[in-house]
Amino acid sequence: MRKFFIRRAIFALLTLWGITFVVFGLSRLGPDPLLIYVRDDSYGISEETLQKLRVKWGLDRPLHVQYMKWIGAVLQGDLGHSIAAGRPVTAIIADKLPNTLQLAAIAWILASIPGVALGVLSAVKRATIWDYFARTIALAGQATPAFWLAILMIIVFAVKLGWLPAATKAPAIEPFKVQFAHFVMPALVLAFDPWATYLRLTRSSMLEVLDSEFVKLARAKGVSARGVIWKHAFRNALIQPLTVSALVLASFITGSVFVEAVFAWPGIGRLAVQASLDNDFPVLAGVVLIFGAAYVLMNFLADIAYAFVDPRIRYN
Amino acid sequence: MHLSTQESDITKPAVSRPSPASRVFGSLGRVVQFTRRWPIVPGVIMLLIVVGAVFAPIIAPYEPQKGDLRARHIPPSWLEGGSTEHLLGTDNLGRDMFSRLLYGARISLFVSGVAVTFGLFTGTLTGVVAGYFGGMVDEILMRLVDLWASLPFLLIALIVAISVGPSLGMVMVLLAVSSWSSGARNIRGEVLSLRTREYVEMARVMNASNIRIILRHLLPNVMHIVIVITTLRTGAMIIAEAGLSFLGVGVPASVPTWGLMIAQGQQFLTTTWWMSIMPGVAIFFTVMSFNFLGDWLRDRFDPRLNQLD
Repeated sequence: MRKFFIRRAIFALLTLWGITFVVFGLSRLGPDPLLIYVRDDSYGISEETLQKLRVKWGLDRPLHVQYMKWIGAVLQGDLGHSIAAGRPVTAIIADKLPNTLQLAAIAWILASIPGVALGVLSAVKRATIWDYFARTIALAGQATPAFWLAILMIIVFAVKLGWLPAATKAPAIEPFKVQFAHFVMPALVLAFDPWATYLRLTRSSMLEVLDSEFVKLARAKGVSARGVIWKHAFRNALIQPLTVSALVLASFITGSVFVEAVFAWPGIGRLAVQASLDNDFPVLAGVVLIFGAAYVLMNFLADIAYAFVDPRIRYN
Repeated sequence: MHLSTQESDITKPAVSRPSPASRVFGSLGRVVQFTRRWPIVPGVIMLLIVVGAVFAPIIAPYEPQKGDLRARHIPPSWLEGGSTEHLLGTDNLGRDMFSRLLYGARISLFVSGVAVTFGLFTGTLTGVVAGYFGGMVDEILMRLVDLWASLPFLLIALIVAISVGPSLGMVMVLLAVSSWSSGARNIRGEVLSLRTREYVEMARVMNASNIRIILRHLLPNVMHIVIVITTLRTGAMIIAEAGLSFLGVGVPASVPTWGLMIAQGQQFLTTTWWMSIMPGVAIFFTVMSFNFLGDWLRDRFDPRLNQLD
């Protein structure tokens, strides 16, 4: 286990380094690296000013020097200043990160519990109308882009029915009810995609366990159907959905970018999109590094959790 | 987390299972059963979309980018105020939705097709080489696949969008690169077991070269996995392309794509809601039919791929 842990940890660090390398490499991929700071339709800026800007951001230096300077600052916790807002990137991210985390936490619960429950239902009532219903929803979920589902929900629940607010997060002074209403749609949309994953996983591992020897023995001993399902099968079938739940959190990184963009949610996913449209590289790089680190961490945790509950994995 | 060895009931071909649908719905159920045995519905939908995309210039009644300012915000034909002149209505600039959807299908299918083909080609090659040669080669290639799978590609796309600028080619390269690692692991696993088969051993005894063994004996036997993964990946690619265009970091705004159309409709949700809804429906049915077809192929060809996501 220890050896596995160390190997995975080294791999996680390597991946993180890979991400910094990719971020930097891609940002210098274009014809003119100045583009990552200034939009190319910013007409009216003289060539001399552009040259000055290049010197200011160190773009005239050799690439490896630029990378070392950037990575050195990042390691010291300095992500630079936003071009658009003029504030330190770390301060901007610290402002917006809690909003994203709250949304992700709620969506995580909304995805896990119904997803696993439907998976169990689908396995226990296998090949009945329930099973078809659950699996069709799962298939439909995979074919529905999150941003479109979000718009669909806005049209139905905000525009037509007027039940829920269409966008943004409520200010902190609003009563709990209002705050909650603002969370409903974004969290549901975010939860919808991993739902299908949970359902499929729970269903297949539940079916596998229900087919195993010890469940047959329990049945032969005369344990009630309910006892077999919940005491024997469910507990063992839960291992996989549990380990995958870390990956689900990681998948919210991509999901939150879309959901926050549609619902104008003041989180870091929307910040990233805005930074990309504003050619604000310091902000974008900062968000990508934070998200990347979270992504790597979640993958690492999933690996460890999986190896912890299933010893066979450790020796592969 | 690869669980490809698991068995469950979906792993058995759909044919051998008595369809509960026939129990529930009687004779209607038999029709349902037939459409379950053969992918009729997804096949027809896909055919319609492909034909629509390929012959878009002939079928489309209007030019996708040319608006008629006198015909703005016209609802779809079946709604009040709609007319058969514009089957699916028009957008805020008076452009015909139906024509735009057809041209959008071209971009969607073309981009995802190129991306999946390239991704699967390199993925297959990686998987076969890693599985066949084993040892150090295998270790390095599989670590690379792991590393690749743990990169957040949407964020990478955002960076490329500002450094290189949005373009059709960029989206294709990005998607191709992101899907490169997806099939490699499954294919490697299959090759690992094929490698020890007698006919491969015999080929080696007969002094066949590595390249010959790979091309003649291994590749044909992993093709079924490649086909299944290709079909299932295509749906994911269509959604990914639409997502990038939706955020404004994909295909440039001068090209009508489904994702961009959804984004453009976002400002008119209270009045011209069909601007956002129609392209989403198109995406939904296209991806759904690819996924159904992929599931069906998987049941037919290789039940062990069941856990592929």
